[in-house]
Amino acid sequence: MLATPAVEQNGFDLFCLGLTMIGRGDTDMPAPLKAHLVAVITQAMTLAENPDRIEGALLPEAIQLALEIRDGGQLSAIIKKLGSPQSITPALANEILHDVESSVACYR
Amino acid sequence: MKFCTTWRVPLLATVNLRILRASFRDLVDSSYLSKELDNYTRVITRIIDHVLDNPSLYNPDVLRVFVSRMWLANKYLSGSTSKEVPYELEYSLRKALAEWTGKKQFIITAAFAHDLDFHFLVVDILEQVKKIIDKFDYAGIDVACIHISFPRLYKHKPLYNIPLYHELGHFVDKEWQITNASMLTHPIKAGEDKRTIEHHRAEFFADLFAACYVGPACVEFLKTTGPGRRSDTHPSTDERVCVTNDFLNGTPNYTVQMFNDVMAKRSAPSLHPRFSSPSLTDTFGDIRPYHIGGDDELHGTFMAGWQYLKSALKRDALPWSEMGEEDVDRIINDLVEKSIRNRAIREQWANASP
Repeated sequence: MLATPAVEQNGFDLFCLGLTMIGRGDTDMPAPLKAHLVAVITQAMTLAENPDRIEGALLPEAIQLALEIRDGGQLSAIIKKLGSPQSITPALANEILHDVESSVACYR
Repeated sequence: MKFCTTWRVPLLATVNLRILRASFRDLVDSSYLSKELDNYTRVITRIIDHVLDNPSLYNPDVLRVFVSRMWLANKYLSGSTSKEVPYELEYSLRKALAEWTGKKQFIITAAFAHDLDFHFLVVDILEQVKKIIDKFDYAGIDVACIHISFPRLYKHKPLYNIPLYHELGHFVDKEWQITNASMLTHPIKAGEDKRTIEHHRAEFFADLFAACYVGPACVEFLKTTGPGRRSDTHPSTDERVCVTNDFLNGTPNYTVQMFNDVMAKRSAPSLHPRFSSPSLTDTFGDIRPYHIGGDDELHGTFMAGWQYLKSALKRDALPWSEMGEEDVDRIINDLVEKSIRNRAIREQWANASP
């Protein structure tokens, strides 16, 4: 935007929605949303390890998460506890959500 | 505020969806939509039908997000009817976009702002809906959208819509993930705020993108409409003018080089000027449209038109000296509009099958 703040519908709310549903133990999460969530976390972990590997399709949420992980804060420790993004537990989902909410805006 | 504590009543979702569906149907019935936008609106309406017929298939939070996206879709169709959409501008933006999106076809939906607000919505609404409304059959639906907003009062003022090239830059940035990737490859310095630097880089990129097409005209707009002082979301206007001028003058600049490095790694086209400035004096002086040649001249017409308008507003030479400022402004914007429309018509004619 030339002069005024951008409209911040950045898609992160879908990521947060997915985490919320896992954290609550909902069983009706749409499959594409689950796939998106897994893709974001998987790519974020890869980018956090290898920040120069920016070739190919990149998910904006993954880059944001990778930057948070590289900061070495709470999210970095949470991600280390995560065995596979496919099998994220409700407790870990809530931990990630809590951290993401405080560092990257989850627009409601 | 936690995600699940607000607005979870499905009844509100269904009431809203009925209201929105009626609005989309009105749009389709108006027959003022292009074929592509008509199809897009019908798809949106069918998805709402599906959700209203099967609300129990979806979690209340999913429904809430879906409704929010439908409100957005509605907003960004408000300025999209053929009666309202600034066709010439859309034509020019599409030409600029082609190099960056390849064969992927986009439809542009537009919202009218009632203030001096140009912006670009950084999400594709339908793409997001596909992730949450998963029981709908999307077979055969392959539409990618760009959602823009610009001041209603400028709808027939192409020269005042030059900032939309900057907004298109934000779209291209998102498509190629340039700014985001730069945060990984060119980390911030100690003490800098990540979000602020990210915002600033995004603005620099959009400025540079606009400069590729409309050259110094985007600097002129920056000087007049830029926020001036540095903020969390925008660099200072002086910084932006400096970076853009360095780019246009071929002066080495860290920010420009950073973006081109990232774009090379991402296999994206590079930042370089793509305009040539036509001389409008002879034709516009006779109050005739200019015969625009190639795409570089099409984009350059915005810059040349802006320069011509500034000069004509001095009203020190015929025919402008005999008119009021309002007429000068209206006629020159009209000449730019007609020059672009003529070019579009010639192109359609040349491409038409016998």
